[in-house]
Amino acid sequence: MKMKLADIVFPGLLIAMSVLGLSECNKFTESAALLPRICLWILIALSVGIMLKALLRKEDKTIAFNWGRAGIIIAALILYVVIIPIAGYYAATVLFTFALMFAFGVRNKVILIAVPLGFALFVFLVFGQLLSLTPPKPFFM
Amino acid sequence: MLQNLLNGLSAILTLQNGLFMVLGTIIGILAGAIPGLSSTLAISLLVPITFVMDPLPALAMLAGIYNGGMYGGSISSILFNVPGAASATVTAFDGHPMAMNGRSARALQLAVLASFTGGIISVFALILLSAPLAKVVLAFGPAEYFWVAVFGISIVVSLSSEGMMKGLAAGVFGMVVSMVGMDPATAVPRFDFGNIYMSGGFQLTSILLGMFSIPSAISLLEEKFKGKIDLAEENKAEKVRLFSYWFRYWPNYIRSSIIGVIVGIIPAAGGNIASFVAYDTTKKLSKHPETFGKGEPEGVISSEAANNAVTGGSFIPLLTMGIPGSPAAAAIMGAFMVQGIILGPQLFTSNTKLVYGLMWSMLFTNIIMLFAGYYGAKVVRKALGVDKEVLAPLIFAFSVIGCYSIRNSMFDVRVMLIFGVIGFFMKKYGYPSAAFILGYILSPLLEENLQRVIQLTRGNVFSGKSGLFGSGLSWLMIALTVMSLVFPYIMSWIGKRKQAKGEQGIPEDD
Repeated sequence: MKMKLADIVFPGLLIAMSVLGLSECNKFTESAALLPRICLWILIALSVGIMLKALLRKEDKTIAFNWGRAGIIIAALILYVVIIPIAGYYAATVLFTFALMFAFGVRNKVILIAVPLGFALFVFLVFGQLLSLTPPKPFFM
Repeated sequence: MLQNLLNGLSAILTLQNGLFMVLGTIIGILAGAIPGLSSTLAISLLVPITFVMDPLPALAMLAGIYNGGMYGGSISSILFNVPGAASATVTAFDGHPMAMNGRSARALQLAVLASFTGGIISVFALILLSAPLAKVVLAFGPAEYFWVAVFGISIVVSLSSEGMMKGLAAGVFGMVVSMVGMDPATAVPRFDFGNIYMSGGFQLTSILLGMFSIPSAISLLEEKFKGKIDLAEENKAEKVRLFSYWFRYWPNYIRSSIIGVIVGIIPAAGGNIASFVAYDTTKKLSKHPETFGKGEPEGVISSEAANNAVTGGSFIPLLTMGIPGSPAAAAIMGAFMVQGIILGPQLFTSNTKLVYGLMWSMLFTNIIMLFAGYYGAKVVRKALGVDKEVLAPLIFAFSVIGCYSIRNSMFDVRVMLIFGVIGFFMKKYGYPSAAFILGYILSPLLEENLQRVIQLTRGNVFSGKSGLFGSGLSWLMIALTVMSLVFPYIMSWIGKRKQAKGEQGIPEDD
């Protein structure tokens, strides 16, 4: 994405969020709404400033961004967080690390199997045994 | 103070603390050395674990990561010409040419000795300066604390490489996010949209991991690391004797360390600025400035001594005023908050063992770093070959379990994921995540004290002794705020002048 476009889209989102925030402020008491209002107006002013600066800028640069790779990673992360309460942390983690490594070109079978299982064992020993913390369990347990 | 130092020493000298300091230092060196990772990321990942640990070993481990990470950045700088951390950028100017000429072992050892010297001198500065400063801060009332928070937030300006407005926008965005939950004065729920989980606000660990660890891990996979080992055969005939360098170049070690300490005390003026200033000073004082940039050992020394001297210096505003002056310090502040410890001058009277124990841990982790760096350079060199495709999924999985374990809550994990994605785009388009974190952390301090000033002055905040401008200390903090806003422009002006003379500029700090 071009920097100029990004400098219009991102502040635009901040302005939208600030407007929503300002309308929410009407539900608070005066003292509770004071600082949020100040901050949201400052945020709107800064966002407008960034937008204007971008519009007035003559030169533009392209930010190197692989949308495909970033999309796969973010989708995998969302799926991982959704699956954890269903399959439990250990099963979901083994599946997630294996799938992500495979998707990004790791083909060494030993690494593909040993790393997810070794990591799950490490978490079990450190979090489960040493620190007595319980990772998320599957829904049926 | 001597009694406090002895109490701190007796507290830190346990086997458990020793093990955590060694572990932290090694993790820090590895995290600093691997391009794409950083000590801030490593500290953020381990903050959730410190929740179940005693405070001192937890903080000693994080101090080790901070120190080790500062040195670790020099390894990839020297070997690959790819700084593991921004603070090691200047190290590459002479370190990499040395490696290309078959003197990588010498360059690495110069770097570790310089890092050690800088670190030790900064610890002495921390011990000598923080207690007197804490006494001054004890006199602060709500108005002064309000300005302390404003001063801290003003630091965000210097954290953005893409201009002041983006740094400020990120900082104010962080402040707004911190307002989700109960109002600190009246307990009125704000911005919770009727969601019971949001009424309590967001956990700091979710935000820290979201802003620091997830974007770094996404970037590891999204952009491929292009560094490769392409060094000349090591010159084995050149004998390496570690401390002989110190006696030969001692004025440079001392001078650069002092520069690092001074720069470190100024919040946000981090390791990269310190190393740049020290390098420039050494070059100007040198009898043979033409050798700089071509493998001059003094260049490596000045850069590394200065950037490691920043660590102790940056702890001074953190411990005395609760201002995290650097991203790594903000992450360490997260560990204090997870432990329920409030930073500020009271810490020096209520928790002396912890404060002075932490100072000792800074000293000991520097010694550990010296030995680990000297004897472990070859191991670290091998660790640099770890595939990012293997590392990144593990960072994600570790972040998830760390975030979950604080409150056994999947809501916290979802918050981390959302802020991770936001943080990734912010990083990509020049909005510094460190500025967001500073805003997030300092906003409650600012709001609570503003509310107190309003109550004390019955709404007339601009007049009276309790008002915002009623004391000399308030004006001092206002002056510091103005300085912190102007400082980046002065540095940028100096940088541009240097660039015009054919020199290189300053990158964004780690």
